[in-house]
Amino acid sequence: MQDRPTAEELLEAVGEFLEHDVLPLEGRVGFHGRVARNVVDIVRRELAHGPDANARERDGLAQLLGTDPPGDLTTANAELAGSIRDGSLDHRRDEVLAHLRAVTTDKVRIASPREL
Amino acid sequence: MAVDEATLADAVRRHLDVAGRVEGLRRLTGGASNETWSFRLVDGDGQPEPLILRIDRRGTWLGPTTEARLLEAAGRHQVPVPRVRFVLDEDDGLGAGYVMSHVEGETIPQRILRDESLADARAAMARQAGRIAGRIHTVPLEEVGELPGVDGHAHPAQAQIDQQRELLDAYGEPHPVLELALRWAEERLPAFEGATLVHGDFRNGNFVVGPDGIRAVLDWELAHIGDPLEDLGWLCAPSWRFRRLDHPVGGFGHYDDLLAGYAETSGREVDPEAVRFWEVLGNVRWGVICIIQAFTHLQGQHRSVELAAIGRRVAEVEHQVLAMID
Repeated sequence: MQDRPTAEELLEAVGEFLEHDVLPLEGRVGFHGRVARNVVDIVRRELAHGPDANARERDGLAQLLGTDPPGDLTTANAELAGSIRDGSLDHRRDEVLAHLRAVTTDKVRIASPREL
Repeated sequence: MAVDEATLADAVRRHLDVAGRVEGLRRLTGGASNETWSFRLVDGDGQPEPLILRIDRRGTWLGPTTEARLLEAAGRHQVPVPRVRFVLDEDDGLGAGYVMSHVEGETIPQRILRDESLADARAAMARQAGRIAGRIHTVPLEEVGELPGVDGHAHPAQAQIDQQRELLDAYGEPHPVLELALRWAEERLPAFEGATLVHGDFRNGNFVVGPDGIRAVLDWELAHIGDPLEDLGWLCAPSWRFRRLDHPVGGFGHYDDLLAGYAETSGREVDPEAVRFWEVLGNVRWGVICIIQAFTHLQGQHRSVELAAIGRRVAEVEHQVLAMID
């Protein structure tokens, strides 16, 4: 186990540095400071909500693809993407949509929650 | 390569046959492939003339000669555009590019949507944008020079669907939501009524706006021959409403006004459903562009926290896409 500060607390410190020391700067550096602070916030939200969101996505993919919960989300999503493209999931569009709506809401809650 | 006032002044004097000098040269924007500079031409006792220099660094856009010719053709047909003053040649030593008039006004979308002094302009802009789009789409094709087209595809939308799939495959990151939207689009191709000039980036952000409305349409580098409804859908795509989703036309207006203005100058009554179709496809394209930008960082061509962050904007694009399809 790591010592404190925790990962969350470290990111908080970086966020505060960006907020107080970099954002007020003019031009390109100030602008990139704002971007960097948003990035820190994304990572903080991902640390907090990512594991649950990934577990839900795994369950949803298992149901749609008719397999055990996948270990690797990228591989399972590639399979889903391919099946959508070739039309083999056309007859289950409502299920696919429901799954993707839930997954995307979770993604947005982490990446840009003000969109919700 | 930097641009210096002396070299630019030589070019300006030669092409415009004036004895003036160049002042206030400053870089406005610069992507990896092209640069925009502003400067003033001071000639004798007259008012300094504000001008814009566009330079192509990698030959990735249409090419300055084609783009300048396109601007001139659009201008002849009452599309508001900056006036091209001259195209650079090899003797100028500045690279490939052209010089055009500077059109005064606001271009930053959020300010266009918020600025008190632009309230009247905003109210009229959807109809005005429609009229302008109609004029762009009726520029005779023989006047626009060699532009990329839609060869080999019966329907430009299908060509774009195929292209987005190729790009998604090239980056290897699966995006089931974008795939679903492309599948949705493929099953609903709207009627294609013939190819026209398409601006290719017709949206809030590429308009110069003053209290009197849209004064110029900028950034013609993505112009091509295709389905004109692409421009209307791109203008209305949720990504280009800048969080004002209740104003579908660029965050400032409504479909009825846009399509009424469009009918005035194009003579064409457009089915709003076809615009919605191109909005979906436009948003998918924007999502893919975000992916490409993130990978420009990830693959090391251009390391940047800004490009890295854009990769996570795909989520909101997908969220918008899911709200549009059934």
